[in-house]
Amino acid sequence: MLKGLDTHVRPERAKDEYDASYILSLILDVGEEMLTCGAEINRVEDSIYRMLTSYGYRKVNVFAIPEYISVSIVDYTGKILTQSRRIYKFSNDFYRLEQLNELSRHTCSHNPSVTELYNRLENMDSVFYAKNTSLIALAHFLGGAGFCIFLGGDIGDGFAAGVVALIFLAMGRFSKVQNLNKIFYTALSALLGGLAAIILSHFGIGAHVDKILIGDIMLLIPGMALTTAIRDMLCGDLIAGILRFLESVMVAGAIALGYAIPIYLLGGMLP
Amino acid sequence: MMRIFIEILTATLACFGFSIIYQARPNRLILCGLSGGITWGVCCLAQQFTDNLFIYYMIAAAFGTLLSEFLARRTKCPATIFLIPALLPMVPGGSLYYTTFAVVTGNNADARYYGQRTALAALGIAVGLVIISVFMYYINELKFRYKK
Repeated sequence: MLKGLDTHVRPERAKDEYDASYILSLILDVGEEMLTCGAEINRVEDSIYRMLTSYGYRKVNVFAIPEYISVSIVDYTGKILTQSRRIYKFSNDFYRLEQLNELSRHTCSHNPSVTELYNRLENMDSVFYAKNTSLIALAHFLGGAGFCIFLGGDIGDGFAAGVVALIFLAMGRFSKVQNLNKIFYTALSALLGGLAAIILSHFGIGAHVDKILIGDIMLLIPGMALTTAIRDMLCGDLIAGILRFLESVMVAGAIALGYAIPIYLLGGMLP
Repeated sequence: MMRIFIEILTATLACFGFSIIYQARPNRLILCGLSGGITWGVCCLAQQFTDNLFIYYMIAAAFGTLLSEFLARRTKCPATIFLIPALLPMVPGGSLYYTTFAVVTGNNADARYYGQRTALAALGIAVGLVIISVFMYYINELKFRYKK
């Protein structure tokens, strides 16, 4: 897997300020980051198409699925260029997405040069509280507890769900397991969460184990994957929809497996 | 009635928390939380008129999409930022989990019941969302052409 190498290509060997291969590479980087930050397939394909046609390239063909983008263009001299990106990581980063959207609008209206595009991409920052672990922990607690009470738990269940959410956060922050395999990682965190929920309810914090567990599920299921899958299919991106659908079913299976093991093992401890 | 009030309040808080996890810009956090709460309120309201899960999820999702498109126009940022928190309380994560859990433990009746609910909810949300977003897309195209 690609780690640390996935920075933008520095345009040192560009022939001039509008070298088509570097422009294409940087615009693909914009599209790649948009997909990574959680934009829809439609939006990514549309943005790449608009940006490239605004430079005056002909025969712009874009194809994107959640893991891959491929673009082919013909530049002014008649040279045919094709580049592609494989995408490995997914997250939701709305602040970055907003900046990327601005950059894409700017690119469409002003056609910036290679250097300017590169500088703008490199200087994109993340939101100031991204490094503030206590605030992120509070957010996880709120999210877990909120959804637990929302789905029918009482106050004690909500507290327990918040504590379990903190365990998921710790898993994400302090372990390198996340980089290995997404399904395995999800199953492992579900297992630890299930274990913690059963132990907490054994000591009297939270009465309904199943309510605690489904409150925390939203943190594990990647935001709205199932709905986005069906939406992609209805919009005509069949392959992207099917891939996302399969992924969400696999992740749900991993969560169920992870939760089932401690329930079987510690079933006798349940009141 | 009390139950609905608690649900709206906790949905707002949870969406607020999730928008911090998704790293929204600080001045959008409250709007993100509120859009989740209001959309769930509309879902509860629609539930009073019909028993069909598909129909009331579709209505609420259509409302949530309209709300997020409106907010996106006002704040000049992509609609996804408000759309994901707005639809988050309706996402059938719980029943998806119950379905797979029933499949894993071999409980066929539960698996069929929850599987049907999950599919209907996901389909309802997606249909409501697509109707409004296609509609908005054509309005945008018309505006663009008219300007030219």
